[in-house]
Amino acid sequence: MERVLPPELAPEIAHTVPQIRDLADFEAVVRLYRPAIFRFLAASVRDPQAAENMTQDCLLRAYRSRDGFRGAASVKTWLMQIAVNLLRNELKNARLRFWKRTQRSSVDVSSAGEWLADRRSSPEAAALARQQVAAVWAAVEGLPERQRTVFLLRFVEEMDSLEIAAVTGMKEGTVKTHLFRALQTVRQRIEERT
Amino acid sequence: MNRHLSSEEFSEWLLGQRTPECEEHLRKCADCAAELDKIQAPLGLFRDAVREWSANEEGQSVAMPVRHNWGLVWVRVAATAVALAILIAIGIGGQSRRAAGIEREDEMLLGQVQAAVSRPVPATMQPVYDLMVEEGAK
Repeated sequence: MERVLPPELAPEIAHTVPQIRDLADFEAVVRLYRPAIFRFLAASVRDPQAAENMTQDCLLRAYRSRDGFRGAASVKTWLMQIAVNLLRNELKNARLRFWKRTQRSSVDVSSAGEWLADRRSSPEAAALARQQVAAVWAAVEGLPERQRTVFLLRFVEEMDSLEIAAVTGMKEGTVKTHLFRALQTVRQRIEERT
Repeated sequence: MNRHLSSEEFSEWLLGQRTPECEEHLRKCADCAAELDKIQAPLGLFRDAVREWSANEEGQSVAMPVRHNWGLVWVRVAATAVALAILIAIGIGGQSRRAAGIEREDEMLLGQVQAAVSRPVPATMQPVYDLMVEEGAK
């Protein structure tokens, strides 16, 4: 299982996580980065099946255009860039159909918090943890698309603002603005609900 | 820094924009450290929950187990065999019907050809020929 890093340590430790620098062994690329791509897409659309299809699509596109990868960014950044573009196109091309389908089959807001329950020291702590996760999950759901994307890249994928800028194609200042607004909204929701 | 951290400074800290002054203040001020934890802890829980949830979902969607229900398999095999038998029977019946139809058409065509060949005059002259035959008979 992938190691979970506290957000404050992410930028420093990210450099020690093994990374693939070229695409010669594409199977290794898939093994290493597929979970992160799926995770980002699943958290964005909240539909595991749709996320699965988009992950396959992302990896297929990456494989087909692997000759064009020059190594200017890391492989992970390059793959996440494809994933973000796929997500954006999907939302742009079929916004209504996509969201209707997603909302119909999406996961329950509170279900993600269930995964933490067995690690809490007491039932009260477990309930509080679930409540907190549900509050963040609900707040993220209500964020505008760009804010949601940068928030997930920062607080789930633990990317710094420069990496997020490379992945999303935004300027670093724009990334920071979106992150700041998203965080304000999430904080407000946490304070209201916990 | 003697004052408590502002809301913006908490956000900046969480976004990785940290100043030595804030860091020092957070070490000394229990109130601000607790305030930071109130935001940082849910974000950490959210990250862990999403990671564990997606790892579970990914495992399910990638390695979907294929379960064989052998009773159902036999029913499917039998149903396929019956369907094939029906299709073959329809095919054979259809073929024999088609063959009979072709035979009838051939016979009609042959009859027309024989009639045309046995005519003493071309078809356009047939009425005149019939009249002559009638006149001759009188």
